[in-house]
Amino acid sequence: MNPNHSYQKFDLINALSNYGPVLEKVFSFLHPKDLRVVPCVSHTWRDICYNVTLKANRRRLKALRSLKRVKRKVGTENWPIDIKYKKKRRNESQNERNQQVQPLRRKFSEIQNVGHKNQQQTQFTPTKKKARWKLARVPFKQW
Amino acid sequence: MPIIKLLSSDEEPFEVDVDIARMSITLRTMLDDLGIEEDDGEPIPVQNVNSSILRKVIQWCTYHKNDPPTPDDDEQREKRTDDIPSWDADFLKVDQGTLFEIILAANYLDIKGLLDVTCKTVANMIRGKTPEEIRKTFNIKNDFTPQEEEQIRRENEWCEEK
Repeated sequence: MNPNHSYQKFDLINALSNYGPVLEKVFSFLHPKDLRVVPCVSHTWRDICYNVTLKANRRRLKALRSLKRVKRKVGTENWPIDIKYKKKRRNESQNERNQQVQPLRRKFSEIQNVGHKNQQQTQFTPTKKKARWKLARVPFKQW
Repeated sequence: MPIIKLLSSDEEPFEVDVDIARMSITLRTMLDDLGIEEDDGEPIPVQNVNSSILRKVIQWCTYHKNDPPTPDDDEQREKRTDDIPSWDADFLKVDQGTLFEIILAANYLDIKGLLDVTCKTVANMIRGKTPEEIRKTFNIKNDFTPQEEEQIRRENEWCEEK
């Protein structure tokens, strides 16, 4: 699938290290998750990431800070967490909460309906108007 | 269509339309500053680019000459790497050395579209890989000692998130 293995390989990023703006552009297309991998490749890559592409490094540090915040929240003993799994769990717990809330909400809506019925009863007085119309009509015909 | 001559670093002349040459900001400023409208017998030297790369660059520019200009706001735009047109993907199926030289040429000639698409190609080589896979892709030797590697892993927490 990946055609690169058949081609000549060399350290492209290292070769580009004199061209900071170009590297900045390359790294700007990367997700912070991939930026965290970049310094782990080799010494030169680490130096490039720390010293050449400052914008990308800022983005990387920002992602790291937010990750550390999550880590502090979760606790180190549960740490290697699956973030996707966590999201799923959160959605599930939200659904559960919704289900718990729903009977209450139904009751509440019933109460509201009662209110509606009352309103309908109060509104249901056009008979008077009709009667008044008829009354108005009768004297007109007589004229 | 007026035509101008470009001279690559190894003295090979190329005849290109002025419109295609003007896609490169460097050449455009040069033409504007010198007031060159069409070929007056004097070829324009492009020192940093050799003939095989210049041929590829001209090929790319000829294919993309009718493209609308790309918007400049780099910061606001969402970065995507999966929108490389198939023609460009085929065009850039070259070995990494050639890709490197195309990037340098695009950088020197200041052709934004070509630089974008080549940078995306490089970013795609890095994306979604572990350090070991990246080393394999770029043929890099792992020069970390195990302690260093452990420390830098912890620093960057790359393995923490599944």
